[in-house]
Amino acid sequence: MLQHIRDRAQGWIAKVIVALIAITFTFFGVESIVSVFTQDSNDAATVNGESISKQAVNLQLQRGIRSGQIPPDQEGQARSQILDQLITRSLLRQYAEEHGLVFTRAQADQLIVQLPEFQDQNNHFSKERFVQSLNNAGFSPGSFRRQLEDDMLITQLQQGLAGSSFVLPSEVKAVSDLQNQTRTFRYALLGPDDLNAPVSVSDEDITAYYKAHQDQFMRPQQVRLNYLLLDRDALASRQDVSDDALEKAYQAQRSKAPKRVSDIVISINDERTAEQAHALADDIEKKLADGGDFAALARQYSSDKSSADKGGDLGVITEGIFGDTFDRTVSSLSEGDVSAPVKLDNAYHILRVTHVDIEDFDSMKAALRKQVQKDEASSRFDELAQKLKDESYSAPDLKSVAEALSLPLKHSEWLGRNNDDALLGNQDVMEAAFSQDVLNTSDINQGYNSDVIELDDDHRLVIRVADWRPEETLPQSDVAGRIRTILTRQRQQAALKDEASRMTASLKAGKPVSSINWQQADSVGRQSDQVDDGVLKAAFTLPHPDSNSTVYAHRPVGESQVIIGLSKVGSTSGSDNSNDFTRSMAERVMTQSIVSGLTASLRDKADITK
Amino acid sequence: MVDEVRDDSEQIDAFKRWWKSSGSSIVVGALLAGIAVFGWKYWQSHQESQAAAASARYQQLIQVVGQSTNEQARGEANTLIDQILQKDDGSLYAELARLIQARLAVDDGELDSARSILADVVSNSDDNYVTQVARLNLARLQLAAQTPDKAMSTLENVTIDSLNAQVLALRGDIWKAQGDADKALSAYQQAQKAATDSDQPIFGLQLKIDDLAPKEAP
Repeated sequence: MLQHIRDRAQGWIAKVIVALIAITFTFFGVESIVSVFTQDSNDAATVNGESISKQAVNLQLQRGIRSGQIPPDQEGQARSQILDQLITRSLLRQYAEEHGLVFTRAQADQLIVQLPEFQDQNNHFSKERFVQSLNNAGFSPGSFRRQLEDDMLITQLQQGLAGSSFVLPSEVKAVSDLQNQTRTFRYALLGPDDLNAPVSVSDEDITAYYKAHQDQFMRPQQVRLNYLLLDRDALASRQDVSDDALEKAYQAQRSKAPKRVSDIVISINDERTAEQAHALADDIEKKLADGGDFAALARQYSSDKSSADKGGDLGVITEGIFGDTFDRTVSSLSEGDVSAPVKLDNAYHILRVTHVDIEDFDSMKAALRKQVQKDEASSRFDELAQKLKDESYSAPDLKSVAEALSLPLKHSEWLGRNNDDALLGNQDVMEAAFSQDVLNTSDINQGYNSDVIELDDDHRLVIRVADWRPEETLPQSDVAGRIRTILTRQRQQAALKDEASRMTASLKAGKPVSSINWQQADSVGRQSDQVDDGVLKAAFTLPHPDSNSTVYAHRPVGESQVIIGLSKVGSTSGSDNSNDFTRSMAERVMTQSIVSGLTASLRDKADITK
Repeated sequence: MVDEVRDDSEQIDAFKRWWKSSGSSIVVGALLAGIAVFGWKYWQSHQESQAAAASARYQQLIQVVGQSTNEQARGEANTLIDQILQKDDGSLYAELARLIQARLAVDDGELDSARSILADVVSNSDDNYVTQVARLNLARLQLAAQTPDKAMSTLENVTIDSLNAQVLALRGDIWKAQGDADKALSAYQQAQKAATDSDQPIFGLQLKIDDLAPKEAP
């Protein structure tokens, strides 16, 4: 076949074709041709022709889950958020690149070396740490650097915009003048109790409302559940604990507790050979055994002058500073004990624990009991969890399983799919409850026990449907009371509003209304606590009065209406503090809207397919 | 594979003849190609290092501005801005630097100079988001300088949807400065709607709306 092509490849058409292929390869690489044929089920989205792979979304999702930022049960929601973020990133990066912003590899490297996350104790870049941190976060060095380059490009854009945003003194003043405004007004609240005639709701009204709002009275299908809950804490509290075990736990705690230690150091040095040092140390040990004073002997013999002056006192010792042998020796000592000489590096040490920082046994007893119970319950919990799984899988009911595990069988109320039961409202539980295997609507008893549901590390749950009822519209008799309440409230609101606007009209016409019980508010500010918050807010929405006149209006406040007569709008200078706050809020909001305005404008123009 | 089979010496002779006739032009061609490739590579790396230097200057600027805006930082920032304007003129870096320069002038209380910086950006740049922001900021400064007419006409050219709420709110301020409370209120209300739609609140807008509440009919 090749020969055949070669023979024919003399004509000019063939030459043009060959040239085109050659040019395509040369300038655009193999991908350009390959990509034509692999149009692309692997894309989560394309942004102006640039693809975001499903893989990239997954990777980001895994990182989020691994770092704990995304709870595993919110994966679906997180996925679409992540895709959205990736699209935004692409848009911003494309804009930055189109407009000639760059962040080079060398710049990225320089930045990486300076990041404190990748430095050792001496603030030097540590390659191990770098690789380790990246591994933990699910990056390779290459992918991390590329991401960093993109991040920095975007940051350049956004920080530039942020750094250029300002608010003008006149703008701040305009807002703070309004915030520092005061108003003088009188007001009266009209509540449902102030209505002259109570509102009435007839049976026909209720029927009409019931017919017009059927969907409000639809009850979803519901189940009643039997369930078994295996609870680690509950298990633990039933666990017997012997005094021996408590004592043992206390000893373990004490050996780990911080200890204050004194030390007599006999160095091996130019003046002393190892044998001589050893002999001297043994000698001192004997003196101590004969009742010698540790502090005095430390002052006399210890080669560590700084501690010797303090009777050998090293202070409270944290594990890990002086090495394993030291720690082991110390942890074997009780308060007041003295160790035999131990050789560490180039010296013999005689150690004495002068104080153990731990409460006494009796006051720790309760906490220790809890801890021991928990430890011992732990293996029991795993055992029971396994048993729960085995038993509930094969059993035709939950009762026998409850007996086998001696757990109480519990019963729920009626539950719809969306309920706020603290335990059973859990999404996994409801999914199981309404699944085909567990819920058999033609014969409840034919449903199976659910699988063991792991609510969290400490709780296992098995459910079984005890009863089921389908979705139905509640009969009018069941909801008449609810409807009456709704209608009564609506009519009260309307009647109050009428009443308030009658009164307001009369006041506007200059006719006083004798039934009004006015309250006065003089020059109150927006934050005043002299006046009810709702009333205050309403008062600041009234139009300014002309001088020497009063503006009347009514506004709803909660269940009531307030009638307000506003007579004066004044001002205070406001505290420096609050004016500063106004300025910084204004700045922040302005910056935010300028920065996110860029993203929004790019999204408006972009060609995005999902 | 081969059309005709010749023996070795024949082939060598043929090659020699061919080399004699076209050898020199091949050498020249190869040389030219080599020069072109190296030239291109050099030019590319030159461009790259220029771009990296520009990026580094700018990076330093946004770091200085991001950390502090005291007098010393402002001085340092202005020095960097001068370098960027001189060396990277015409780039987006330069344009952003100009916007930052205007903001620093505002911090210094020099609103006139901020205004002329932004006027310069607006008249000398291709239209993009950054230029639109520059226009918006310019209009705000023009209003603060008691020239609401100019501010209004500058706003005419801020056309990006995502800045719409800001533009409308500023129109409200302008109308208010010109004493037309009705138009101001209507602009503020439109701004509030746009701000809600785009989920980008504008600070103090509701206060302004409430304060312009119209007189109710008696």
